[in-house]
Amino acid sequence: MLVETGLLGLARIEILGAEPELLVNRGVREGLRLWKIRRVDGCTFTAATWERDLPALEAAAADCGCEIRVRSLRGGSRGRALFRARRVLLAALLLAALLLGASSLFLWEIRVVGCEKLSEGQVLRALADCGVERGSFWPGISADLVRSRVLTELPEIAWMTVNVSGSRAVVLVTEREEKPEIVREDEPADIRAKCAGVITGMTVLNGRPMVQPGDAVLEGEVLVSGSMESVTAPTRAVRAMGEIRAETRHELTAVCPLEALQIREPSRSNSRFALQIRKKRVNLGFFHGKGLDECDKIMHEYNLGVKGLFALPVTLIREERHPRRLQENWADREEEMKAALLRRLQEQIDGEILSSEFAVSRADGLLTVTLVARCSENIAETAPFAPPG
Amino acid sequence: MIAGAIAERLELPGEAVGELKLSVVDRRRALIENHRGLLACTEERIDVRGGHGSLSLSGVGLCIEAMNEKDLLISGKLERAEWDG
Repeated sequence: MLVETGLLGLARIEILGAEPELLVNRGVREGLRLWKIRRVDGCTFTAATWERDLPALEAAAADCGCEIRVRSLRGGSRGRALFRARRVLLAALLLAALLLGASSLFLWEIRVVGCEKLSEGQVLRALADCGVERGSFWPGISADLVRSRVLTELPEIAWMTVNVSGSRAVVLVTEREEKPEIVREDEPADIRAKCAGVITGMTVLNGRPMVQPGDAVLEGEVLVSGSMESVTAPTRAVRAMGEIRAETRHELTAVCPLEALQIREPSRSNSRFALQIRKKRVNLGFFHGKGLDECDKIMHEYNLGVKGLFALPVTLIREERHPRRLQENWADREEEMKAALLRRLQEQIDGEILSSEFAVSRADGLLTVTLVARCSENIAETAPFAPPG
Repeated sequence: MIAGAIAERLELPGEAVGELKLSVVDRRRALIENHRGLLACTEERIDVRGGHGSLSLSGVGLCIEAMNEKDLLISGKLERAEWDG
């Protein structure tokens, strides 16, 4: 019935006249379909019929002294119009499905996993040189070929593979581990001071100590000699081993301009959108204000598609512009420099910082911060063996 | 009438010779076969012409659900059926 209604058109009509029964009988005799016939008042029937029977019914009504009024019309010519519109919609959907199917043969999203020392950009550039980039026809990509070419180009990579799923490629990278330094235990060596200080403690495992706690030593001075003398045997050359703790003094200085370019707070007006279709970019707006010379640009890219399943060749880009301005903000920078100097010193020494002092000066447009620190550290450093002269 | 008598003698069903046939289902629906036209239709009464008279169905909320040249399906609460003539 629903299909019939859609195709033939259901008309709800009113039959007005002195004897509507006459019209009903005439219509039935002429083979017109009438149903749901009900009298609503003395001279009015309501009934349902097909849209195609309406003209014949109206002609019959004129002969029977009745009048036909169409109360509502569903389906029929309107339904067919809708169906035609839906046919266009179906065709559009089919076309979209075909385009989607075709686009899934190309790579629209490349993700690199496993990079620590190398940047993602370096790997992507190497892949692009091998023909793996956005818009590449992935059935033509040979993972083995790509791997061998990228490994040649980037020796830092030990192993890699390209997994393609739909229009997404996941590049798994394993970086090469650096070979540890090989120490020959039997090779004679001395221990020298890597910086000047006052010895506070010594643990010598092998070799002949040349200093003792309380001694002041200079940088490069032999602390433990690899030359072992004996009264019963000739002098032996051994590999000196041990830990020499000393109190040291370090001085680090950092300099920066008093005025620095600061990023202003970002505002909504300083962002714009763009669409990247394959490699073609279409800007959807303009930045307001001055030029882009003194600005930081931050771009956020959003790949359109279903995450983890497929990606479309369309990328939505949100570009933010953060204007910078010259600002004298030395108070913040001074604290940043002090913290940076302490971090740097902690990385340099093999021990702990006992006390620290900062000296700050502002002259000639420069901010100078000097760190003077007293440390307790291991100053032992293995050095090539030098036989005592 | 003669056709009816012949049909009876020959043990033929009445509708085969064009006599009105009324089938009622639980007072809710009535099917009239071999009608010759609608005489009157209200929500309380529907009169149908037959070969040898007319049939009146009385009830509440009567409605002609479907109708063609031979058959007529009536719905509503049927209370009474009367033959005239």
